[in-house]
Amino acid sequence: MGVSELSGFPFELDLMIQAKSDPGVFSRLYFRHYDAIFSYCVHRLFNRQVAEDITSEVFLKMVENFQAFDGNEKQFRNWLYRIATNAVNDHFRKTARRGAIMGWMRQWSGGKNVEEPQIDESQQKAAIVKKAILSLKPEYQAIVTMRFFENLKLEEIAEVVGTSASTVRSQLSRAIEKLRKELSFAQIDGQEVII
Amino acid sequence: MNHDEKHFEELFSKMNIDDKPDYRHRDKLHQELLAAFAKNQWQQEKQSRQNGIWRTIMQNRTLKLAAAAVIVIAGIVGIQFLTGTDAYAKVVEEIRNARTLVYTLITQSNQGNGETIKTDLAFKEPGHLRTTTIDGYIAIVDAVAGKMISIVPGHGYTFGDIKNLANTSQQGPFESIESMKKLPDKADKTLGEKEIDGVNCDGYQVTQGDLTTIIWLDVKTGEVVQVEQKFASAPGMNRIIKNIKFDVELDDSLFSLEPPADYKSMGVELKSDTAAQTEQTFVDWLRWWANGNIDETFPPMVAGSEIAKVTMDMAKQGKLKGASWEKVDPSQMFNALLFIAKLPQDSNWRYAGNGVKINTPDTPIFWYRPAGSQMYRVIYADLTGKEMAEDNLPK
Repeated sequence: MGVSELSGFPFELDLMIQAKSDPGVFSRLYFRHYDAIFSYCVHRLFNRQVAEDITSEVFLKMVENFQAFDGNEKQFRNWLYRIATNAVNDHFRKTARRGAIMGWMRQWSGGKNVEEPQIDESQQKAAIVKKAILSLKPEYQAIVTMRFFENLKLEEIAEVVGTSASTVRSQLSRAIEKLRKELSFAQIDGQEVII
Repeated sequence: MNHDEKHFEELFSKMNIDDKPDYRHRDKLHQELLAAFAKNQWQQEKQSRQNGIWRTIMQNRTLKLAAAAVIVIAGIVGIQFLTGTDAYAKVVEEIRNARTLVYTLITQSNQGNGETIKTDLAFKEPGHLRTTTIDGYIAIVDAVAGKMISIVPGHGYTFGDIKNLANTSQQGPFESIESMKKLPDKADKTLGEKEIDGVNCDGYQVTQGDLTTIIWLDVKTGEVVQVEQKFASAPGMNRIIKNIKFDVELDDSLFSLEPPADYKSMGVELKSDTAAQTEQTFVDWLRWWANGNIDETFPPMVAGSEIAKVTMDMAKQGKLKGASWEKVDPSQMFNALLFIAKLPQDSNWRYAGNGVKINTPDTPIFWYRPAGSQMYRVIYADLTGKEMAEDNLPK
């Protein structure tokens, strides 16, 4: 079986053809990519439970369209990331809507938000970074996550999001700038912190 | 990676996110994916077969009309086996108690081009039957209520309302299988060992009237592996029954007469009364058929699901006259086949009209013995009929 490497991942060149008719090879393909997709989802969502749900959604969507997919394993991996990106973005859109409704209901009923649990400083810093990442546009979040958590090259991210590597580079720069601003105003217990 | 990027990479790495995969989730999802994978593969295969046939059917106007006939015939498959001609008189009591039955029926016609039809059948007491042809046509019959639905997957459905179905004189498929299970004790002769589908089997042969049945039983377990049926009056007409299973769990939804969601009616509703179908119904249909094809010959066969394939083949070959098929009345064909289906087991009906031109002089094309009669009715190619003693029947 031929092998090509990108981002350190050994893609098998003729795996895809066999996987379409052989459940055993299909299973192998799944096991080769499960961790990466779960990792991407959890780094986008910062919530394991939701990440597992979205990972399931991604692979079930994949199997629905698998027979029509015509590409090599590298393209398959990018395709999975693309499905995952759309699924996570959809999730954010839905929860944002739901969040807005809940907020309105709380206001209307005069209720208060549930008190945040007590957490230590390092956890507070992590929460600030998460908040900063989540404040980005979903498209930028995806690029930041793929670049810094999943260690994908700019060219690979470009393939996933369907644009050029130079566009990804400029979007990444804008995302970093935005993150820097968010983090520069970060405070813990009323005190400004440097992150 | 520039300085800024390195800074953020470091920052993110310190976040201690719980990102270790839980392999219980991975394995559970794996099982779901395998199930979805198998289902998709099956659907894909079925769809591609179906698309092929459907494309062919819809290629021109005549073929569209042939499709109407096929839809009707799909329903007939169900009726045929509720009123089949192959039941045995004796039934084993313990097997009779079985509540469900599934099997695959392969029929090879002695007519036309010797077409082979494969149908999966599922039966559940009291009188629920579901048949699925390899082309994806589904017929579901509730024999007690006399209702049926014929489904063409991906296209639509047709309802059938059949009165007096329970009054037909034949026993159902359940009893025919049950009786077969008893046959080894009463076999006329044993046929020795033979390997079928990799299983060593003992063969037993029994002849009852027109029908010869060979049962192949697993040497080790005694389970029925295959049943073969041959008809003395119709050489070349063979049936093979395989994959027989008793008392498997069959969900009621399999026998639901509700059309699938998003399916539309195909604009045909079959209403029929089994008791009202007479020789005249059958003769009228023979006339319509003979006048509706360019050779002006009678249909290659008059029973069973085989005619569906033959109809399509004739349409593909351009043998059907468009004008006749524009006026096709699905109920007429349905009723004619119902007349055959309801004939008693000892009617010994025989069809000899394949390739015979309408109005060919002195040529018998069909004969049968009506219930309670000593004499046979013989129908000729000019579609006249007369009574005849058994000794004078065509050989």
